[in-house]
Amino acid sequence: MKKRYLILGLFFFCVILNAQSKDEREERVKLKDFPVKAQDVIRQLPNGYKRMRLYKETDGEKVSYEAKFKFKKQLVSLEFNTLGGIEDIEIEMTKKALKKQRELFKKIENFLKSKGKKYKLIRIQEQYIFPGIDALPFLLSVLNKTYAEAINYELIVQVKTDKDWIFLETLFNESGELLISRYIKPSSYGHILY
Amino acid sequence: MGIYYTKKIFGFILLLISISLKAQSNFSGLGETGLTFNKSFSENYKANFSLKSRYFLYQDASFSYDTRQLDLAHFSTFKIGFNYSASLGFQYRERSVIDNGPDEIRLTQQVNYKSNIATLRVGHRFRLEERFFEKLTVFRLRYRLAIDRPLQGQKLDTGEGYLIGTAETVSSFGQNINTTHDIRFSALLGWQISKTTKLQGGLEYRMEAYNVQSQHVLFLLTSAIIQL
Repeated sequence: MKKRYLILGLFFFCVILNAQSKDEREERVKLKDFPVKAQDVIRQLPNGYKRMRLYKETDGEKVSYEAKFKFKKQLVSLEFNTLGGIEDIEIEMTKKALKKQRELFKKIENFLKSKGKKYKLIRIQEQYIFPGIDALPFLLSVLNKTYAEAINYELIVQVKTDKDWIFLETLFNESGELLISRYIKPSSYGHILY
Repeated sequence: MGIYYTKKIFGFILLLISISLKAQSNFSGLGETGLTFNKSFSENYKANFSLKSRYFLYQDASFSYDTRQLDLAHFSTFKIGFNYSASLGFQYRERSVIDNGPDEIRLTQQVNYKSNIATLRVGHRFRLEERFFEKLTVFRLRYRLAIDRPLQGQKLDTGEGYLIGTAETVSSFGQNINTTHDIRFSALLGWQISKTTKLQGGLEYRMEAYNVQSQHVLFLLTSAIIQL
């Protein structure tokens, strides 16, 4: 009888521990730490990229590898899964460029204004999801700005609600529909402020 | 690019330290160890409590350990804009029991603005202080530039380190006292050892009253910062 309770107790303990370890972290790594398939893709990138930095990101159970670099004045972020397959490629864009897409911007702004009185756009990226085949032609068409399929927009924003200030990571499709919205924790400053 | 500038700042501070060490007559070396607790009640309001001990390590051209003072401080910080915060601080400094120096009650009003440039975070901090001693009151105006960055990756995670570099000007005014200006530089290395705790250590160099007669002071700073 007592054994059963002990096992049950241990089980719940493990569940709690697991829930607590949902930690988002990223660390700088070297090319050799990337999955082999991803290493090959990086080696085949067109010449002319600068400031290549490689990261391994862990978000709870999910692990991904990200290559960040500058290509033809664009800030690019290329994400791979643990098997080395491309997940997506994100390119930073300016507020000005987003505002030019009036319909899209109006819908995004409506969502942000529904969340709070004031908002501030911190970072905007165009997100190109990999269709699953022909990695290199996909990459080249995105980098050379000839890609013609659907793209998403990832925005990191800060919103002032009635009572609070919140940081959100949001994803919209081309029609301005919200796909994902999640809270992100701002980095601490209390060790520097005083 | 961040590491390039970080190294430059470190080198500059080391240069200042070596220059200051040469001016031996007006030089003293101290240490300050602090324990800080931070608590966020909401994004709007955060409280800070700290206990700091300051001690001499080198004075009058010789090494000796000599406790100088104990500081107990509290800051209440309010978010007033996307990148702005305003704080009110209260500090009590105990010296009379320790080295017969004057005790102090200090009130601080502070405004801070921070921004991000790639992985570098830049902060501008303005402080107005009223220092109440038994026999006089001193007013101080301070401006500090602080630049910090995580050392591994783009954001600070548990088990990772960070660097902080600061430069501050401090001006003191009061009735019946000369107006003095100080300049301070610091370089600190920190470590996030757990989700709630950071350990920091570094050096601070101060050139005090440089408009009157410069006093060179070097601090060895150590602290633990705990998030409640």
